[in-house]
Amino acid sequence: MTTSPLSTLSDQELSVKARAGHVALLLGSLCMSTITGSLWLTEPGLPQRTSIAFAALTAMGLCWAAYAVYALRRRFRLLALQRVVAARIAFTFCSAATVGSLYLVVEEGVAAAGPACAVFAVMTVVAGFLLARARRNYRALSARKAELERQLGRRE
Amino acid sequence: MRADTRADELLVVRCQLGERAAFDALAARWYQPLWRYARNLTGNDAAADDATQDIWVGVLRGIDSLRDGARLRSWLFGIGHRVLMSRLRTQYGRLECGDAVLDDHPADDEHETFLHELELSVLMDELGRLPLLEQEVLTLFYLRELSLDDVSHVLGIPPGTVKSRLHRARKMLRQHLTRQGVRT
Repeated sequence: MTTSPLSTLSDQELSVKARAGHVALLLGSLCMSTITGSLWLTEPGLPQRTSIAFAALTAMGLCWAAYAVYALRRRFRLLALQRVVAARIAFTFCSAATVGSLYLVVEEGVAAAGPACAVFAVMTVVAGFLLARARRNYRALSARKAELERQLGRRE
Repeated sequence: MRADTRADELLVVRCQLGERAAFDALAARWYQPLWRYARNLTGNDAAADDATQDIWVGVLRGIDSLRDGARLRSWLFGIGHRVLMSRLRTQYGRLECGDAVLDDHPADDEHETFLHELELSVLMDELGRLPLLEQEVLTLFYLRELSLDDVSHVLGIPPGTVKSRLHRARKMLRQHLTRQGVRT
C-alpha cells in the first residue's frame, strides 16, 4: 500500500493550470457574448445573415460560459486562495470593460455600447460581491488555521 | 476536542485554503484506514485500490464544502460508503442498499463472493461472510472505531437503526463463530 497513486491523482485534480484556464474561458466567453449580443440587438440595419451570425456567436459564448461554470463547480472547484485571485481578476476585467464601454457611449456616442455597458456593470457588481465573499472566507479560514496551530502547538 | 480531531481539522482548513502539501498529508494520514475499509467490503486488494482512488477523487472535489473539519472522519467514511455501494451496485446489479433487499441467508454464490481470503483471521473471515450491511456496520463501529453518531452520519440512517443493525450483526457473527466451533 502506498499513497503515491493518490499523490498523482491530487496533481491531476488540483491542477492550477486547468482552473486558471476555466476561469479565463468563463470571463472571455461572457465578454464575447456581451459584445456580440449588444451589437446584434442594437446595431440598426444589419443584414439578416449578419444578425444570424451575431446570434450564433452570442449563443456559442453563453454555451462556453455555462460549460466553464459547470467545470468549475463540479470538476475543478476553486479553493479559498484561488477564489480570491479569480474574483480579483474578474473584478479588474469587468471594471475595465465597463469603463471602456462607458467611454464609447459618452465620448464616442456609440449606441451599441449602451447595453454592453449595462451588462458589464452588472458583471462588475457580481464580481465585487464574489471578491468580498472570497476574501471573507479566506480570512476566516486563515484565522481558524492560526487558532488550531496555536492550540496544537501549546499541547505539544 | 481531542488533539487528533484538531489535527484533522487543521488539515482540512489547510486544504480548503489551497495548500498543496496539506493534501499529501491528508492522504498519508487517511489512505490506509480507507483502504482497509474498502478491503474489508470488497474482499480483494485490486478492488480496494480502485475504490480508494475513487474515494480520493470524491475527497478532492468535495473538501471545500466540508463545513466542520472536526467531522472529517465520518465525512471520509461517508464518501467511502457511497463509492463502495455504487461500485457494488454496478457489480451485482440486483444489490441494493435497503435492509429489505438483502436477506439473512444470501445464495451460496453471492455469499461466496464476499468471503475473505484465507490469510485473514477466523474473526475477520467470519465477518466477511456476513451480509454486506451487517459487515459494514461492524467494520465502521469496531474496526474503524466510529461513534454511533458518526456511523449514523456515514450510512445516512438514524442512530436507532444503527443500534438495531449492530445488534443483529453481532448476533449473526456470534452464530457464525459458534458454528465454526469458536467460543464467543
